[in-house]
Amino acid sequence: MAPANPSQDRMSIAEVAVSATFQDAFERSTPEVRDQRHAWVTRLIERDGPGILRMLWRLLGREADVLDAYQDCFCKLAAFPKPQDLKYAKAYAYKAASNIAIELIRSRKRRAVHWEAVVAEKGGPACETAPPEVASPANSGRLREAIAELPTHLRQVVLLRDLAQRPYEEVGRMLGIDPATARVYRRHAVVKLAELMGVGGGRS
Amino acid sequence: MNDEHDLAGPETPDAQVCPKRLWVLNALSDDMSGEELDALSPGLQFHLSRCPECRSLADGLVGVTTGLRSLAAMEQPGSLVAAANGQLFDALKSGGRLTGRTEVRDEPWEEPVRPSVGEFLVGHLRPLAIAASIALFIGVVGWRWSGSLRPQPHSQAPIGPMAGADPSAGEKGESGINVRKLKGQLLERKDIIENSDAEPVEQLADDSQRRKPDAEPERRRTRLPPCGPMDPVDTAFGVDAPCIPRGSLSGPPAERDLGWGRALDNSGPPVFTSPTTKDR
Repeated sequence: MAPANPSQDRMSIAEVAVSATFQDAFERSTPEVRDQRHAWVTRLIERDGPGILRMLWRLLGREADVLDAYQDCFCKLAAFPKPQDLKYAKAYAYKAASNIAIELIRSRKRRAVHWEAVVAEKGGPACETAPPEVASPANSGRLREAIAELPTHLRQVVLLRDLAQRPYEEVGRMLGIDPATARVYRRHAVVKLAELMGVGGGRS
Repeated sequence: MNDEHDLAGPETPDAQVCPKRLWVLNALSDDMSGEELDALSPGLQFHLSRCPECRSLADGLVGVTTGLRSLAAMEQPGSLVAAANGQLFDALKSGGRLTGRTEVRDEPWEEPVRPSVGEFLVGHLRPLAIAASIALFIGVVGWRWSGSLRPQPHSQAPIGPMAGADPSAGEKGESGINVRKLKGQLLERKDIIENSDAEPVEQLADDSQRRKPDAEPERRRTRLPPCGPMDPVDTAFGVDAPCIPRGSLSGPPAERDLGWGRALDNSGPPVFTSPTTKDR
């Protein structure tokens, strides 16, 4: 459904949500968004936004969390004082988005722990803790928490390689390491994840 | 949590570690596609069928790999991209102010932030104080130094022509000295030296030897006040005692009465006189 006034500056989320493509929403958002200070951010959104959004969706699995993390990531980029200070804007965007998502997973875990304690104290039903994850495979919640517990260098490789599905060359370029090193980190991350999940791969 | 992972297995020495554990780890932790994971080598499959430890390890690794692959297979809803972009552009249009949890600065980054007067003073107060201290120090030191360079009264005679020079007559040099007059004086002295009856060197040496003992008392005499001869005891012990006039003594102490006066004159009353060098 197209908006009644095409020149309307501010569109509601529902109006934008019905627009099919990024280009459509981008065209409707002019001229405020397409000014000089947000031009490079909009280019980054246009080029790498879908990949970041896909990674966030695979990592979080909830629409509200994904939208929050996505918005936080690019608003932090837009608030960057000078774009030329960014050496690699794409890597910065991926790192910022993954860090926000990991923090969301951790806070969700903390909230679940405290919620269980509150429910146990009050004696009420532990029903409405959080909205269920949409179309998540079995045991994916535990795997996401284990990813959040990984060391930073291993976690970034797993996120970029397995969830964002970037090639090893690009992963190494974004993280500033050799592609072979990224491959070794990914192998270590798999062993560590098996150890964290307690499925026989670790030293325990 | 250790960052580095030892793929060789547990570190406890008493643990039963399969020697092919590392082989299993290397084979199953690598980034493999589904077909590669299904088509394991016959040797590895044979070992996994016989070793329960390695089979447990392989199950864990395959489970993690399968879980990551299932996560990667999740596709977001088609409307998610549009919703996310619309929300994001809405936030950017509102000046970068987030509708979510955190807020960011909404002033444009091209425009420099101008501090207020108070912030400016606070920010520049320290360098101003340091500069003022340095200027004060330099001023005090410079004032004292310039004061020390001023000509002090009676400290030094003003620079002028040499003694004997007559600047008003004759030939003058650069410093106003009568050069001709000085030359004449030097020539006269040279004539005196050449025409004098010079004494032989031996005679001069004898004169110096003869004058030398006389010079010592002269020097001592100039140091001591003009008074009579000193007490022999003090002289014997080398004490530079103050001089006491001979007539000012009311009576010598007993231990200092050496009896020399009685030895000289037994008939009369004792005369308290200090022995002198001449008496000895």
